[in-house]
Amino acid sequence: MTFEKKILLEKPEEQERSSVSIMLRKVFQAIKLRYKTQFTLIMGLVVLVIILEILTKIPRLSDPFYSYKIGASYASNLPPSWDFWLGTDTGSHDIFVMILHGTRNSIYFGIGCALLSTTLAILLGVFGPFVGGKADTLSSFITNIFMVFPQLPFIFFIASLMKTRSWVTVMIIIGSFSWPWAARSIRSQVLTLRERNFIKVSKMSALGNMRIAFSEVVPNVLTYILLVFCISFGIGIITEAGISMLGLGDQGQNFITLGFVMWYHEPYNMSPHYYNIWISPGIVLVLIYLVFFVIQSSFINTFNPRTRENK
Amino acid sequence: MKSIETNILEEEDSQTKTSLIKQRTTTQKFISNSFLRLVVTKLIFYFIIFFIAISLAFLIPRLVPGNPLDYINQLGSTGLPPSYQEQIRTYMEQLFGLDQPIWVQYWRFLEAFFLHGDFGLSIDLDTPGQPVMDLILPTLPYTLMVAIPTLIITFFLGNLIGAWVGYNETKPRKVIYYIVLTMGAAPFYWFAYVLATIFITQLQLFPPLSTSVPNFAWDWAVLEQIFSHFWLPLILLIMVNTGGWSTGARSMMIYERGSGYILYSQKLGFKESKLRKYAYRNSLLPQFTGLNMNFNNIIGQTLILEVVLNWPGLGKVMIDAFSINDYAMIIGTFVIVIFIIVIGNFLIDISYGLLDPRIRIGGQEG
Amino acid sequence: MVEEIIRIENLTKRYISGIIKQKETYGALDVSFDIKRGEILSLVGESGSGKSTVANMILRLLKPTMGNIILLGKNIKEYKIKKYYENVQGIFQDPYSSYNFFYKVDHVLNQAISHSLSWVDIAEKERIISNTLEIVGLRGTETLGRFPHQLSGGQLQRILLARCLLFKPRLLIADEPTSMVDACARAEILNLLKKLKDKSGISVLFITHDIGQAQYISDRVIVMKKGEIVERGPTNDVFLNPKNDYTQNLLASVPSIYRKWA
Ligand SMILES: Nc1ncnc2c1ncn2[C@@H]1O[C@H](COP(=O)(O)OP(=O)(O)OP(=O)(O)O)[C@@H](O)[C@H]1O
Ligand SMILES: [Mg+2]
Repeated sequence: MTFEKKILLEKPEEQERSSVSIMLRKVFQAIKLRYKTQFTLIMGLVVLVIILEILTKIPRLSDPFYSYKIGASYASNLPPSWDFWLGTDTGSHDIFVMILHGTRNSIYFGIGCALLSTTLAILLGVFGPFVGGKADTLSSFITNIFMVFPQLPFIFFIASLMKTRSWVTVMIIIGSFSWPWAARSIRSQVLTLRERNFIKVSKMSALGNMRIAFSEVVPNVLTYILLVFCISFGIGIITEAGISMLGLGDQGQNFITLGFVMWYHEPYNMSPHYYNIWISPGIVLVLIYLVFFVIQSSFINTFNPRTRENK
Repeated sequence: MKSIETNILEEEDSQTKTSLIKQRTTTQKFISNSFLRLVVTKLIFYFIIFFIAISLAFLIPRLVPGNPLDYINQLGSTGLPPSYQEQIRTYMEQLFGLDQPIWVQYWRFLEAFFLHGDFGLSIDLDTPGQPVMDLILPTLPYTLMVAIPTLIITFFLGNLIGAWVGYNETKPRKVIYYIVLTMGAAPFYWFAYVLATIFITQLQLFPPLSTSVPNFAWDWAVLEQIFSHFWLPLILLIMVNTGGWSTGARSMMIYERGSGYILYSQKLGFKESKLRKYAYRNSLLPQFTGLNMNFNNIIGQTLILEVVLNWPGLGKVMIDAFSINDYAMIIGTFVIVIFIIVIGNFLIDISYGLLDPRIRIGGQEG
Repeated sequence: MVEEIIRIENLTKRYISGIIKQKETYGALDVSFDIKRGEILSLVGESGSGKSTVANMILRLLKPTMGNIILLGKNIKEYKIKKYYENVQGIFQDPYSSYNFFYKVDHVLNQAISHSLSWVDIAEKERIISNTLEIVGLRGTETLGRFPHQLSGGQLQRILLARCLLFKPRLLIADEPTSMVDACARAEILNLLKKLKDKSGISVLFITHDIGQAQYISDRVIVMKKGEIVERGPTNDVFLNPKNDYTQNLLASVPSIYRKWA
């Protein structure tokens, strides 16, 4: 980029705007710059988008147990066949269709969960140390409390008390309990960054704490934040599946997740060929986990300045 | 305009100031010097957490839509005999003061727990009108006998595997490492199905899931039956939790191996076995800080596995209570679970304080 | 008598470390001195003697435990941050860590100019930046638009110096600006500081552990040891006729350089 362009970007009127927009624009530029160099990342994301695209193309069914083979009358507990790829269950539901729905919804659920917990982690991990003083003490105290606060029992507790649970409620409960480890590790990164000279230099340009946190610190912990996002995603999906499997998930039965598929086929009321009923959702869960693991590690390669310099 | 010389005049004044500073810090030193301080801080911290949890256990049932506590007025639909219904209703209303203002209820709730350890009566058809505490406490050993061995075994096993791989990254070692890692990544409840299928349905090593675990008794036959159910959840939890420790220990070991003192001692010709011992010990210590979170995770996992594998611990009781809306039971189990977690974390923190020389003696902080 | 820019009175910084058993060290203990207009004052001392601690307190990057800093007759607590940094600026030892590797080197200049000259138009800003870069002996076409790792330590340090000049400060705190650059760039930076002092009347607090550099550049010298000032005075007095044992030891440890300039 030429000198003139760079100056143009720093128009004074734009400076008046909130530091958030400036930061976002800069981060966006930086990401655009990396996009050219990194192939794995793009591929991972493209695959993800394609999967999501396919999943959204599945017809939305008001009754999730209603098969896409409308009008076909079929028996329960069918073995896998060309008509029913994974067979049917005791309630004559096409397992393959249920898994398709479950996959899409689980991914949505995981993304929602990860968004929530990553936001909380950034708020407490980045801004705590940067506002400093009482806010810092408070944020690290809250993090410490949530750290040892038993999240699973608590999620159990709330979920079992609520008569009407929608998947949004479950998502909020899980998301708001799975951030403390992330906040702590972001925080420790920020604490070392805070001692770096470039922070001092920004301070000597009389920039506010928030502005520094956004434009100097956040880009530097971006890899970390994306990592946290991917891990939170995994935690979200797996926790939700565990809860749904116990029957504590969404109650409307319009939102089948992979865990719900497993719950519906709990081993007590086994059908003769029940293995493929619970094995397949589990395998899909592991696969989703793996895809995000690959994306996450390519993120690390992409944003690590050391690997970047070698390019 | 002052110059340097004038500072000399002020010297006396400033000297008294610095001596004041020094005096104050020596008294500070005296208080902070003891290990007691750690114990007291942690005690206060965990009491706060426990108090928050208890308060939430009180508040949430009253906040969620369709106040669950109304169930006391709708006992008719539970199918309980009327005499029990009457007994339970009067008992609960009296215990928690359900007709009183909310802060009185809160006070009664705290009183009931802290003074009497009482959470009300169960509405379960099998055990109607029994105090829930009497039903919950016998299940506690079942949860703990799975969770605590898991915590200890996985800590040592996982760290040893990780350190062993990190010390010498040969191919077979790496293969084992990745197997351990993959097991940790699989969803544990799903893994429970897999293991149940292999060990129960196929190999028939353990009794089927549908058979229930007998109540505890000092009788050889009963103990044998209990233990025949016990192995599967234990093995499963160990398999699932080992991976997490290995990753940490491996990177610690790689770091240790590359650090100056190992290389230097190698050059000096120290015995390999001695060096390995040092490296293992140094890469183990930082891992202790992970114990708290791992303990919480293991308890959570145990609760879910108990349901899947039909193991009569706290989680099973909680889910059973959930399916019949036995709220006294739900609240009771929740508080007991929190209690275990808080006590466990406290003990872990204290033992960490005893082990770590930096905490024992005091050191640098950023 | 020349005008006094800054006066430091009984500046003390106590660090408390340790989690359970606490231990305190004094980064600075009862440090008092002043700097006059157009003067280069050197702060010399071994590693860990508290030089950076003093510098950071003057730059308001660290809160003093005790003591006052008075800039142009007014306590610095009374200054607005923005106003203060128009008067006092600093550069640090490690040029690489002074840049955010996420951005190009222009970033620090843009930050500075959008603060101090937010009202001038773009062409004017561009002109100011290239003029300032010229003062420190750089050309915009060679340095701007690059990432920090594409430039040398000396270039980076001079861009930071240019950044300071954008504020037109009265006092420059230079915390070991030369210790991480090569010998050639070191001489350039030293001469630059001298030139700034002579031409623009900027006062400099020059921090170093290298007695040769202090001797070369400064008008007065302060010697620090373990957070305390052990010797002070005009450069030649201190170095040719040291009264304190510590200073004598310092000098003895660098005989060749000392003799060259003596
Ligand atoms: N954050 C801190 N916490 C505790 N002690 C500190 C801290 N920062 C500095 N110190 C201590 O204060 C003393 C002075 O440190 P300072 O960095 O000011 O020294 P210096 O003279 O700049 O050394 P150098 O030449 O190595 O840069 C040192 O003994 C150091 O250990
Ligand atoms: Mg220093």
